[in-house]
Amino acid sequence: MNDIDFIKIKNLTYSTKDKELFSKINWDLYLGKCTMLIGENGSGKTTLSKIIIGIIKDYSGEVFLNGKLVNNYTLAEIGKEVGYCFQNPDKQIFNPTVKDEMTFVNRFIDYGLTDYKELLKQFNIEHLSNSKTLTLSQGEKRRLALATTFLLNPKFLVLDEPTSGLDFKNRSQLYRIINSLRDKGIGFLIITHDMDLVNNCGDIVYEIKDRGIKIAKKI
Amino acid sequence: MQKKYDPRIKLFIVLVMSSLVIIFLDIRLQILVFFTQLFFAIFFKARIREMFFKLRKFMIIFLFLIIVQSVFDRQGNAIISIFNFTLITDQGIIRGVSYLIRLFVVLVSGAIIVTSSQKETIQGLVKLKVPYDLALMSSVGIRFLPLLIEQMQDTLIAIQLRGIEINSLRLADKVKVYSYIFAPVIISTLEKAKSLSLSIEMRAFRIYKDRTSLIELSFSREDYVLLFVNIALLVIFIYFGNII
Ligand SMILES: Nc1ncnc2c1ncn2[C@@H]1O[C@H](COP(=O)(O)OP(=O)(O)OP(=O)(O)O)[C@@H](O)[C@H]1O
Ligand SMILES: [Mg+2]
Repeated sequence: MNDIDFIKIKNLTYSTKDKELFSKINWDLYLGKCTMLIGENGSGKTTLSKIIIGIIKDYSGEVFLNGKLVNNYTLAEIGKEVGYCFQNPDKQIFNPTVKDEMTFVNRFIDYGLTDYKELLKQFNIEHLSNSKTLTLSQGEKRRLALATTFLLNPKFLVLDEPTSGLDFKNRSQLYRIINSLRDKGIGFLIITHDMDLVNNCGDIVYEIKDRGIKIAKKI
Repeated sequence: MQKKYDPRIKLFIVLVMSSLVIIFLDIRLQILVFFTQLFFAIFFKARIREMFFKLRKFMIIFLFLIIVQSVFDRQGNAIISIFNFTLITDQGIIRGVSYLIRLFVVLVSGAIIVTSSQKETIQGLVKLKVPYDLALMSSVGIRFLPLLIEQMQDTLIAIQLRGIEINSLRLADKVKVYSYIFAPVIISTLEKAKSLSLSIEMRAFRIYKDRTSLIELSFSREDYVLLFVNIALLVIFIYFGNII
């Protein structure tokens, strides 16, 4: 397959208030590939994903998205290219009902959205369409958050621990969705501790260790 | 090591300044109170810069508040009018700004209080004969403030990542978007409060009527000086308030 590097990280160094998380990281992410990122708790996986998506900006080094510096995009522009699923689904869900959550964007912009009913069906939550988001179970919230991530037809998806809280059936369904989209040329960066997900979907596995990033496994 | 001031002094200052800013109707006095309090905040090394920096995204809401305030105030001389209808008056703008100053005084108050640890603040309130339950509640409330701001920022990010360019929305839509930011904030706060009260009950809170505390509070010389300065300020302010 012809690999296109969609996200390019050059010489990334970043520190939080009290410690250095990354030191001179170079990393490329491709369309049509499922890149897995593993690492210990607190090693900076979520932080790295926030840097890629443009939420964190105060690093040194360069991050490119589609050939252009991430810091030159607005968050809304990035959102149209890259779907991001937060580690904590509560951060992503802010509408009263499931349906409202899926149709939120239509109230403000005209954009070629994926059919939300189809997405709800894929994630097995169509029967919850009129339910209150507040009372959803943890796994249902996760699936709703995942479904919203796919709304804007992104070319690339960054998923932070997408399987946590999901039962066996819904996990397998998620693997199927990921694999079929990857085969259509969509790229993935998936942060996870779930080795089953790694084995089912991963094309290449990286690990954050000692403030650097290295290949853990090539599949 | 940095000198630690008694939490009661901070409570007293906050109480005095926020009462004054509400009692005073003259905007000049309100501004004076605000700067006095700002001075105290800097003195206690409160992190006001950080707080206002975090709030910068919400300035539009404050601006909106001013405008609403001004529009509904019919007194004073017209500044903007459409045909014969007066839209904004000088009095209205002054009224709006004065609301903003009051809001800021409350926010800075929070910043001053959190320079003491939660335990110290509770103990301070208890020593002032505030019932322990109330003391706990109010100090927990103040602690929630940064959490609220965090939650609002997260929602703002989530909305933008859905492809919505907030800056280029029409004003009506902008207000609508901001209304979406408040709902989850309120809900998640209520949720957190609920689980907090549950965990408090689980630890058998209030099983004994009187509580002992590890923290001993005592006024140092510096605290007395501050107290004196504050009372003097209070007298001066009230005196000025009467002659203006
Ligand atoms: N806003 C922040 N301010 C200060 N420190 C932070 C902040 N956000 C994260 N950190 C710290 O940075 C480190 C990395 O956090 P991060 O959330 O990226 O870890 P992670 O690899 O995703 O962990 P997990 O597997 O638990 O999700 C942690 O030690 C965390 O305490
Ligand atoms: Mg994480």
